[in-house]
Amino acid sequence: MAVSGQAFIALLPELISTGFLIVVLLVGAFGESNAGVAAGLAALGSLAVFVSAAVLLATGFSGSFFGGGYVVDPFALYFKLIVAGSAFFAVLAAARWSGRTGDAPEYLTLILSVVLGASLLVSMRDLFGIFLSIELATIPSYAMVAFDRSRRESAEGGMKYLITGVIASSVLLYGIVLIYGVSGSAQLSDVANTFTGNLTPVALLGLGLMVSGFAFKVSAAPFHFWTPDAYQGAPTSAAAFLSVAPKAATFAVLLRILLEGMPGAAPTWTAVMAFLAIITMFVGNLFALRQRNVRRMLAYSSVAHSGYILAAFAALQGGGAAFAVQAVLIYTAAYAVMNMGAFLVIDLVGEDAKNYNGLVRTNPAAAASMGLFMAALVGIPPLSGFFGKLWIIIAGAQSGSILVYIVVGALVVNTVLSVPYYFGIIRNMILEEPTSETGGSKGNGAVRFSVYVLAILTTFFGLLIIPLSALVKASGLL
Amino acid sequence: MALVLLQQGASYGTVYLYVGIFMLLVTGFVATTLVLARLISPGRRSSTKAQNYETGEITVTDPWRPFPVRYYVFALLFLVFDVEAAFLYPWAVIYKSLGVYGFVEMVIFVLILAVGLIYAWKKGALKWV
Repeated sequence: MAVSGQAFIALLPELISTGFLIVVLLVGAFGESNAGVAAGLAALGSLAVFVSAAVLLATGFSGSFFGGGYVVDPFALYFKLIVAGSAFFAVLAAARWSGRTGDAPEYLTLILSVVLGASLLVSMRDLFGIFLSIELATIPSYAMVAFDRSRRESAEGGMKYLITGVIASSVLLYGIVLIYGVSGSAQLSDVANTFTGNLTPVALLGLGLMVSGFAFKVSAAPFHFWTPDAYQGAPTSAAAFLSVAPKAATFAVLLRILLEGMPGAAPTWTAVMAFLAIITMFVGNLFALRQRNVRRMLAYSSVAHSGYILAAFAALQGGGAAFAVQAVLIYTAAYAVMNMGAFLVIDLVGEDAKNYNGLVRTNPAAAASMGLFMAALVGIPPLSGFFGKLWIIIAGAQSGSILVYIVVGALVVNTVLSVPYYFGIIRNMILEEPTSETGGSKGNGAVRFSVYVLAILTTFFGLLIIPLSALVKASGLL
Repeated sequence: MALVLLQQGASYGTVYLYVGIFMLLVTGFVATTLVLARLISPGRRSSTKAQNYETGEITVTDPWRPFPVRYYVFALLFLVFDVEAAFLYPWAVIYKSLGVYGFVEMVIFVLILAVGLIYAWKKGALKWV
């Protein structure tokens, strides 16, 4: 009954984030106006989570704990690194801003709670554990979106996110319960015995409801309606963080459920994923084209990128399966650096497209970073987004299925579709004359530091690709 | 009834068929009642009838206005203790067989909830303003 020492080592990242979460909250309760201390502790906490996951990965620690419901493998640790790393930059970006709200410790506690939930999530092998940790990651994010009390849109976005999110959670839970009812167990290995080639209607309904719930969490169309309002209203650091960390963790756990829990039903769910991927890519890109608000544009762009990752899910069949898993992992890392960077530039420059006019003359460093992020989001080589897309295309090519070829075709079409709005920003920065609306003087050192580091990571992602793909190959899921 | 059928060896499909019939009956009953009521009842609308129902009193103010959320804070705090109690009961029942391990585990659980209470206390949530 007693928990072994091994289990404590396995839970090290989660224990660290719990500890820092409590300390940061108590700093908020027992001290007046010490936003700096809270931010320092939160940054230290997310770094400690990152380092502990890295150490576990480097020492090759792996195993299954708590009756097989909790697993530590390179796959889970890889996503813990992404979550903790993006949390670090989110804390840096939020440090000064949250201090001005007067509730810095609370905001930073919410970030650490999302880290805790997301890093538990990627390790779960039990359906109810998955639901609990997905809620642990989502509930603080509602509060993060609504945190900016000086702007009405923040409350509006938070409210919309909360109400739609609660419905999505109940749909997800209903799906999980049906799967549990059909298979008689919440353990993924037992679920795999029931989810074989031909599914009963109830099993199909459970699968459909669960996938809908997950589609909401990763803002896949047609479940994406909360995304633009939530990201536009949210504080910049929250939008940057929530569009990356919980999404990466949700993709990870979806991959685990589908591959470990329902490998036999792969023909069914890859078809669903192909359908979702195509709709999501088109909806994201077509709506992003019309946006004049950069924040809203990036929100739709994040919908489109969810579609690209779902395209890799559609390729999880035939000869391309192993490569598709790699594609999801590499795309998530590539997306994390470029998308966070792009969102954080908004803190430096502004959220209206006009703020970027002539930026290259008034603030070359910010303009260069934004240009890099935009080009990376399109997928220009050798920036990070290119490698993500390349992996997905290779995986699709190897799958040998007509449907996946169509999905890959849609991906290429959408990459072209996305050029105008990403390059529109670059065009504004270079070709337009600077006006009084041109931004670039906002933000502080911490935000600037995050943006530059993320720009460097985006640029030199190609150098990381060799160690990263070695790591990804060892991820152990396929 | 479904359980009985299952014990008699009926397949899952048959049992769900019964559930489906019940769902149809329930929605059908509600729909029929509502439609019947709409058809039979004499509808004489007046401004008095359209008013908000305020326990029989005449409404005095517009309901769309800010209202104090003091109760809300207390309700939230109640949740802390409620969750605690819900877990403490089953724990207490098997306390003996759990031994020291169970005791330590519950102390950690209560301490984590206590942090929430301490935070709320320090922030003045327990003051009636």
